[in-house]
Amino acid sequence: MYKKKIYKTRFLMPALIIYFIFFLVPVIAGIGYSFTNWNSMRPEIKFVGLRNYIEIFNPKNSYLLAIKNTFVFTVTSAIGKIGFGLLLALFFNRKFPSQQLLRGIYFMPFAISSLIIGIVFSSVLAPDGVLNAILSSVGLESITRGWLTNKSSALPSVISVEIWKSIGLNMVIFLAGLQMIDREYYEAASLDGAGKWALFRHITAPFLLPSITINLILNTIHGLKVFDIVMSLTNGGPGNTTQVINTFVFKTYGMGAYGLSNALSTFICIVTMIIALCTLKIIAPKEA
Amino acid sequence: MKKRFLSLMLTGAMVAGSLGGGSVVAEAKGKSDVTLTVAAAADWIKDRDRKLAEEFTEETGIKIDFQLNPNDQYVNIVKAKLASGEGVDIFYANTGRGILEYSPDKYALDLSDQEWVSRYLDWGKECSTYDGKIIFLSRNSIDGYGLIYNMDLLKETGKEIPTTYEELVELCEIYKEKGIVPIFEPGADAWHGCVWVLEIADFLNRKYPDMYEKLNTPEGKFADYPEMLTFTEQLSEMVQAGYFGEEEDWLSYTWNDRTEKMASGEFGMMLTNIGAMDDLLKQYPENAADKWQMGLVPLAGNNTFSHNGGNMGTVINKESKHVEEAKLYFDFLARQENLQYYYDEMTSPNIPFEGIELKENVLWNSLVEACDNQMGADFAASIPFYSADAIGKAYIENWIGDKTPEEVIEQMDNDRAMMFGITE
Repeated sequence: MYKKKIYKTRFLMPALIIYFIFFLVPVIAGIGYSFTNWNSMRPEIKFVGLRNYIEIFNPKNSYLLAIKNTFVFTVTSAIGKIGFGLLLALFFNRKFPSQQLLRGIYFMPFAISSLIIGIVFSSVLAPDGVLNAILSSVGLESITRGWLTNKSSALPSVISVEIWKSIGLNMVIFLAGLQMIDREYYEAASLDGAGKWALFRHITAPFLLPSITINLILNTIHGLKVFDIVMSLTNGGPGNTTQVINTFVFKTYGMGAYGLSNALSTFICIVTMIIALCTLKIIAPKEA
Repeated sequence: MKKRFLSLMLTGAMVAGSLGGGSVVAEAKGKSDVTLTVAAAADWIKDRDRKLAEEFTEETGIKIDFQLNPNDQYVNIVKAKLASGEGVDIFYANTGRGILEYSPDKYALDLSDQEWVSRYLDWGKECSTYDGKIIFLSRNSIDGYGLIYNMDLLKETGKEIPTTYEELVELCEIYKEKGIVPIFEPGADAWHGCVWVLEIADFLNRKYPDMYEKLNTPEGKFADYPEMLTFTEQLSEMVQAGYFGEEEDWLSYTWNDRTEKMASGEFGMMLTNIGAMDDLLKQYPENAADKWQMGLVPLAGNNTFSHNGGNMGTVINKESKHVEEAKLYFDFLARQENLQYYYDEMTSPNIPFEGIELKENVLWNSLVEACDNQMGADFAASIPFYSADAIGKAYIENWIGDKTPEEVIEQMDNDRAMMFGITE
């Protein structure tokens, strides 16, 4: 009886074939090519073992800086997006006029192309841009600067734009989680004299763990894959100050060093998988 | 069943007929309906190119489809297209060693037997040759980088165009005191950081005649030439002295700002090639020579002009299905009257074909005078793996204090060593 309700295995085949051809084959081929000297200058491809990976970790090259920047970007942007996303979700999880409209406005940046955001913020954060004009008008001229061209503020500025862009998605996921919590828990706890902090700590937070896990994993994967927002805002500059792994993947590909480019991609792919699996392993068992 | 088969056959024949109709009509009129695809970067195709393409279509029926790509991604996209087998019919590439990027053995058609090749000047023939064969139709002038001066501002200082590092520093100090930014540097376009050091190439090649030979091998290092370090140190000193202006400002300027910024009178000079100043010169049709002149980059004792050896050219993809049509297009472009028209629309100083009536170019004249006719090919035209973006970024890292001049040279050598290693 039960068996009849299960679809035949062959129904899986179209999805599996597409997944195999368009995802697994390129990934496996990429890993394979990362051990070769594949390049645009010579037609023949030679196996070179770990040489491309040795180049990545050679301190004379700038790849280590890009790896560091990628991790800084991932951690800080994830914290910012989750923190602000949660605050916004808590704020919007109650009824008030224009609530739906405001939710939509906060979500909108996520729907805009990173390239457009890059172009807009390049002028907002320029030395003669809107941000500096506002700061000057309120007497904060001393902190004005070229936000994307000053080497100490370039990476934080890129991270801030990324947080602004993705905060809406985090908010929506948290809102979905919040709406799953039965109001009776809060009523019962309030009758027992629980304050707002106690309600958040003992009811909201445990029930939100699945949403936190999802946001954490999505933000980590997105952060490690970062490319478009950096390219459009700073192109890795000034100098190499804001280079991340994927801007170097693009750069090495442009130089025609396809093997090295694949080694960098493989590295970030493996790191992403390890972090995502660890996050699941650590947080998932604690979910309510 | 038979009826169904018959109707299918008839439908198929009708569809085939309608598809082939254009070709039949075109042939009846003696014209082709082929479309040739031409890959170029967005900046490279001008009105003159489009006009000539339209006239060619009118004459032959062959359409020209310019496929434009972002400047900084052009090479990647074209190489990917060629490698994937859906390559374009014609593509632009740098003459000289620049063609090595595009696997010329596989993709560049031998054009040595074309009529127009006999009208090439010697230097045109030289820069269009790869492995003993002519593979380029090149219609552009030799170009290179020098410092363009706002002559109104220079005259106010009572100084001449500097010919030594000391004179350049002295002039920059005067400009600084007058509130003029001495040098416009488009730091947001990192590649521009690499063109400064291009200008020491010919000077070094004269001093070390085997330099290019050595730098064409994995053993050759920039660090072996002490003038490279001196040049980099002096350039660094100028940046630290504030001759580019405020760091955050010059890092936000782009190459596209150049005409507006130089015309504003806020900047004393900038490093540019001649062709890039077309728009600026056209603003002063009567007295351009009084307004703008160019000088050498006199760092590390440099007193010669390094040029690109021949600029961009067009190549026919050997694997194209329309090789004959592409040859017709090249024939058309290389006609004497079309070359003259193409040249007249530019402000370039020369063209690699004989029989063209040349016009005066004030910037070229001033550069030739400054170098006393001592000129030669730069690094990019002469050695492999001179990566503009990577070198430019290394220089910018030096200018913002993240690298020492020694580390810049070391980085250039490391990057080249890595590429030699990968391709050995």
